[in-house]
Amino acid sequence: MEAIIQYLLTGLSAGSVYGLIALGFYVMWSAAKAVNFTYGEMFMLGGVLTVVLMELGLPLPLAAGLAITSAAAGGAVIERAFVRPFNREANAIGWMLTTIAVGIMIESATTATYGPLGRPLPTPLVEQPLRIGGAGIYAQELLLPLAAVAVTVALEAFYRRTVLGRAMRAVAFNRVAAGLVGIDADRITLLAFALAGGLGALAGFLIAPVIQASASMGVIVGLKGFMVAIIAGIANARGVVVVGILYGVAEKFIEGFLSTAARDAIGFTLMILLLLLFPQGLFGRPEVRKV
Amino acid sequence: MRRRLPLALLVLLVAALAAFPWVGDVIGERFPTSYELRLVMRAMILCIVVIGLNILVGYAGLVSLGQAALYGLGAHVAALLALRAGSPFAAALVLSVLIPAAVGAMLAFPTVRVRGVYLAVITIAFGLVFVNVLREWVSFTGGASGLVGIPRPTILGERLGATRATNFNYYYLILLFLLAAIGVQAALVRSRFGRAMRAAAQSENAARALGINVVGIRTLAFSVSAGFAGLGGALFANLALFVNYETFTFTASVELLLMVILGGLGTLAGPLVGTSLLFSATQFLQGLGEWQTFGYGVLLALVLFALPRGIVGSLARIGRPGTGETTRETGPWPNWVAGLDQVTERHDEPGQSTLIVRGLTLRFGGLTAVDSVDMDVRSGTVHALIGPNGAGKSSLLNVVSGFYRATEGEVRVFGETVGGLPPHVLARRGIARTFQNTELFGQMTVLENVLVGRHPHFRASILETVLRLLRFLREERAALAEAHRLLAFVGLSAYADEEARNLPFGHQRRLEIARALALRPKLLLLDEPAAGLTHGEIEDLIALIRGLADRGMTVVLVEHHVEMIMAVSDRVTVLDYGEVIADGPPAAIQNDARVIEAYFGHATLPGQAVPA
Amino acid sequence: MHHNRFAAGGRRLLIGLVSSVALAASALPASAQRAQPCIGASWELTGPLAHTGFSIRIAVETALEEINAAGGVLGQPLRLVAYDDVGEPARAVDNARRIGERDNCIVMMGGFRTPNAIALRDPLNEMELPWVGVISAGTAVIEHPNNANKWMFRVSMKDRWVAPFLVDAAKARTRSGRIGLMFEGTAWGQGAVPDVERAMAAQNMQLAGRETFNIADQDMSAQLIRMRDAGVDTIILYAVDREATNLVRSMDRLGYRPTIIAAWGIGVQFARTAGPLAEGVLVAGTFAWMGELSPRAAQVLQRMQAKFPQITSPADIPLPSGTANAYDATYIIAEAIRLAGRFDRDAFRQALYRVNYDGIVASYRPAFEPRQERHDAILPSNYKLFAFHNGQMLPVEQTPFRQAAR
Repeated sequence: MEAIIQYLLTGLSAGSVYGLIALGFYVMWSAAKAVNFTYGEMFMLGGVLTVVLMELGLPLPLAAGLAITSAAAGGAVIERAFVRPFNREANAIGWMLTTIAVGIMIESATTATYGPLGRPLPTPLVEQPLRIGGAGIYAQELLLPLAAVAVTVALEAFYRRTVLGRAMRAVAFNRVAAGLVGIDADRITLLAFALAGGLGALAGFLIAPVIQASASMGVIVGLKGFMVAIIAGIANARGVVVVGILYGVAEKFIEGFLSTAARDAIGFTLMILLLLLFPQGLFGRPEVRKV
Repeated sequence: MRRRLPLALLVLLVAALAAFPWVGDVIGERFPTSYELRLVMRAMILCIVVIGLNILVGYAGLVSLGQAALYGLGAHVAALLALRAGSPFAAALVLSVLIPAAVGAMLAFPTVRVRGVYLAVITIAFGLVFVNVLREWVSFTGGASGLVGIPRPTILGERLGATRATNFNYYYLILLFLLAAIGVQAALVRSRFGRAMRAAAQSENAARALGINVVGIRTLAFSVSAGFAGLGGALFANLALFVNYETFTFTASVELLLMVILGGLGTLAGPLVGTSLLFSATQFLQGLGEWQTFGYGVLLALVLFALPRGIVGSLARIGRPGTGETTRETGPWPNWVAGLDQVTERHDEPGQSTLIVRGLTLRFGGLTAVDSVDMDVRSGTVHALIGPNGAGKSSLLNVVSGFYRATEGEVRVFGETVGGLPPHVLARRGIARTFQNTELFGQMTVLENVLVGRHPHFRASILETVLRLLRFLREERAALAEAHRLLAFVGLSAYADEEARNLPFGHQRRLEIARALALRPKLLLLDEPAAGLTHGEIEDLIALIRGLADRGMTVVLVEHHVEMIMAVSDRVTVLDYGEVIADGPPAAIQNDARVIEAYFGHATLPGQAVPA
Repeated sequence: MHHNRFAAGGRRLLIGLVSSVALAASALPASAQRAQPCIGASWELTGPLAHTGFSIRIAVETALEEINAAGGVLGQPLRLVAYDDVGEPARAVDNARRIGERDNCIVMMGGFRTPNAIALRDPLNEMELPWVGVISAGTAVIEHPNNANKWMFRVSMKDRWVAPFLVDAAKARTRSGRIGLMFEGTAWGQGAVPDVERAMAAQNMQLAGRETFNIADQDMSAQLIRMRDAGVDTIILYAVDREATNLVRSMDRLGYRPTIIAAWGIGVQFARTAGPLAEGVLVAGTFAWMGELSPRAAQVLQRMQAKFPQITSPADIPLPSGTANAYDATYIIAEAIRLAGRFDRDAFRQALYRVNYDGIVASYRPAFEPRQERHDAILPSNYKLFAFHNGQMLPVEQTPFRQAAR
């Protein structure tokens, strides 16, 4: 029983990371129908930049705030410089590969300057684990599902209640029509990427105290977050977060009851099967196109 | 002359590669050492894999980020067979091609349901699963350590190696396979298979309507692509004599895709250029030390930016004469050139009911698009289907051509019930159609568009096609002749090598009809062919349709232009809200009170033309 | 239809090929029959394992400086030609060929990763190029099937010998009598399993738990829960710093604190990232630069710090054992060349069996013997146990963990 609770807790925290990353993909996809494969690096920068700024003497909250803002700015720059030119031509592979190239650049530059080793990011919330029903979890880790929920709620409120948010949804729905009613679709997309960048960095900053901030921490997570978003149907905020958390928990249970060695193989096979059963994703809306 | 230049360059390249191992003898230095020799061999092997990927991504338009896994599968099959089963080189090679080809075919299955990014995700997941299995199945694959000590390959007792002692025979074997790969790619692409792949990528619906089994052609693309990858893998395993999962990761798949893009998607020379460039770049970038990976990223970003169509693709654009620089002459249409009778020769016997619709109902959820429609289309007649927007005309057409499945009712074509048959099967039976929004294969030339229509009429197998055997050559020649005839028919002969998307709108309509006729249909469905045409073009269209019907073809015409309908149709069916409200000769329909009411809302204005 | 593209493509390819051939040709090798007075090396100089390449490089360059200052070997200075393989076996093979054929060095040194070393087996044999490893501890690196190893030597630990060393330490410290094994999903980790099982069997014991984890895994609670439920109180660990840190964090979460006895993938970085959780973790190795040093070792450390200012303290040497191994290996190589009397690879190889040398890790008398098993210079008697204490990695005798806690 204790084991199950442990898996749930650890899965919750890992899954929330996936969920937050998937959320970022969702925000970007809905605004631009493009995916930013540098996204894992935004996550990484959230942790790494915070560590670097703290080493320079800044207090934790300021360092984190700056790191997140920088990542947001980075997201905007990437959209403007690397995604927008390709979206014009509906050249689907173009933005995919350019962002992969930029991701390579960011990761290697970080490895070359920051070094390949991880550095700790000490916060008071990783000093002692909390005991819940015999299982243990750091308070820091619980911040992640909290953040995921908070961000989802905020995002949905933003989309529904604010003019800017509604403009974003309009652009997601039909870019051309949105332009026709006076929405600057390009600026909205820029904003979306910036927002997503900040989200990724937030997730990175929150989890870094637990897993150390290293230059390579974003690669696998970025990939898994992207796949989670696709499986969820990349259709709404709630859906991607839920699927992210479910996947994190599923991974833990696979490790616990099936195999740790084959965890990824089983997990990804599951993803493939899900995608075959639900070609538009679990929560996606099937597109009916007129012939 | 034009055709000879690329061939000459290819010969030059082959000569250079063939001479490479012997350079040292000429210049008296120890060059190339086994280091350089192996680099070139690895580059050639990668070329083979990238050619396969080019077929899949560049021609069939299916983005795969799992090619490295198939490459690795081939490598491991070859390694395991050599190491554990003592299998001879040739046998191992064959299996290293067939097994990945089978797996590739399985990967095509998802394309039935998913597209684009979703398919890419499945290929990514496949690659990751594969690597995981390789890494953890220690007893079988050697786990993370991989398989080491693979015995050196031999053929018929001859040891294969890349050293002077063996006269570099393995080097030349790889070169031979590379040439074969280049040849197969070219042969496949310049055939109905290549055209079908590109067609399915550019407009799935149009491809289906021309008799192309889209899932089938995609499975072929995946399979061939995987076969190439497997071949490369086997050659690699026998070169390195050591395989482990690290060579075949997601990063490697990305690199392979980058090589295709760098060279130019969907070009024949692209894979060669992209691979050699990226491979060499990786070697040179090592000089940057810590910043080599960064430099790699910069290089990629630069190329993707500056040359989004890849090197070869961009150069081709420069070389090609710009549109508008040469003025082309549009011919008159319909132009009943000699030999056109074959187009209409399959027509049904006169007096037959080519198309019978009984009680057809089509519901989308709560919306009833077509409601208990009965219709009778006689062979050799032009039957018009009219009605206000949203009346269900296109939906009815879609049911008849197989794109929608009727909720209730029966459709009989050529005397047989056709409920539930997919569009490509119906197309092969002789139903051709055009689309409301012209679904041309925009990036293919005008001639190629028409050639696609000939697809179901080819009998030559893929083997005959690739090997360029007589039957293929004959059929291709005949198809080209027919395509030219059809272009002459619609007056577009001068545009034969123009990209379809560059055509003015009216010409696009003409092309679509020519393409549909290439099918030699017995039943031709035209979905608003006059929309957007000038008055003169409409008159020509009327002459064309009448001419076809007079020669025995059955035509169903969905239209809004009332003058056109009056002029061309033998019979008119009027739909409103999915129901048939009138059915009869055009003159009778024109004065039918219900028809007028449907268009105007009130039953007045006898004798007044109903505007479109 | 396609000729434009093809023409352009063919032309470009030709240019690309010709220029790459030209550039490659710009570094033509000397057409000497004998070998050159250089030590070639393929190390992880960049990328995620850059710290391992660094650890080796500082030692080799320092040793070479000393050797050349004392006159070099056979009247010539000994050069280092180091290539980067970023930890990729394919690159290591490329580098080996460069070293063997282009640079024509008399010997090649190896780096951190075991797969890189294993991949070299055939090329080294083909080129008849001697190789001296300084870290990659996988047993299969040196022990080839059919006793076929002729050219590969190593001044480092051997997993087959490390296993009994760890098992002994575990047996001495376990109270429940239940010992478990956790290993990373790499060649090194997976290769250790049969070695550890054999060592346990030799002690009439069996592993009470056997768990693996993937590289970059962030949480090992599933594995630890199974270990705990099996009553394991001592875990033999094959992991490197990052995963080891995540492991002790997982242990912290569960409130489960078995004794950890690690094979030497763990270095000083572990102390940095795991913080107080590193306390009491034991690790095998050949050398530590912290704590009390012998006079010679202290001198070497001083010289390394002078030559490489980024080493402000021993804590900046990421792989202390690797550094020491590499230092000794360089001297052993120099001595073998001297004994061989000429720059000839086969003479060098034979001379290796005659080298007697007192290094900082051990006294090598002789360094190697002409049987495959003894192509490893460092014997189990030279293996040491270290413990993490107050953020430092010290010989276990200098810490409170020299004996099992009562």
